[in-house]
Amino acid sequence: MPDSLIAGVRCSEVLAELSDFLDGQLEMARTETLQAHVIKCDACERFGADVRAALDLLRETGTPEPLPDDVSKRLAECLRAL
Amino acid sequence: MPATEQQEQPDLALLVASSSGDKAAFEEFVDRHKSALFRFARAISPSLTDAEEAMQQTFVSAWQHASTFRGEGHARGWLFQIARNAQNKMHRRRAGEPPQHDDLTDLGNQAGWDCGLTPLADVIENREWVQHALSSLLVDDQEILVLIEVEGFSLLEAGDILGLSLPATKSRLHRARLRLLAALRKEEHHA
Ligand SMILES: [Zn+2]
Repeated sequence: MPDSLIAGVRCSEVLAELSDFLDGQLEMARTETLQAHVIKCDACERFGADVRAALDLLRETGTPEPLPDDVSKRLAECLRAL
Repeated sequence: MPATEQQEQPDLALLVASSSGDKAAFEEFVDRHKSALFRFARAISPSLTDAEEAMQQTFVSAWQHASTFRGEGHARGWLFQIARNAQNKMHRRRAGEPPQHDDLTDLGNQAGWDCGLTPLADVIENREWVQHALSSLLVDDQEILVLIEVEGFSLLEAGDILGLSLPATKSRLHRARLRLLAALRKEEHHA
């Protein structure tokens, strides 16, 4: 995509700082600057939404699966031997 | 008795009891964490068998060193750290394996940054896709994604477990996320 300069920020800068931006790790002023770019830049807005969508799905995995029965049995045996 | 009361001896209390030989307390501790530990072990192990071995070794080590847990931070983080050290010893990857230094723009492009693709949310069919994409990544990427996105550790906590500074943790997380996106796009093309 063209590395557009929008609101004084290039798309490549947004790409570099996207995680910090999404995680609220940037200074307020920098957050506002990137926000101004993203609002006007379809490409960055779409890509930011992609990252969020992927991470939401990952976070939804939530509770881990219970151990398979055989794994659980061997763990219990291992602990019994302690 | 309300569920909240019978539940939840804090991890610290269980480990203190374990360190004086209370097997029942340790078993409760194991039950509480074994599923999450196994999920993490799978992310950092080359095979299922290795993951199982790492999990067993981790709990054996936790039993032997229960008195060293001081209650700073999560016991789960402490366990994950033990698992990771055990795995590093077993596989000695980190010493020899060069860090991945892909150019950020290349990474972004692989993740679909450079073209107007269909929004990912519209093409991801199910959670198995994400699991599959995750498991296709290298260990460095998988472990940080599991710690932060799945287990919910903070950047600082994950950095402690991984032995990374805050900037290094952030940088690794960012690249891991882009590689996850790239892997999802790859799944999309194969679908
Ligand atoms: Zn842009």
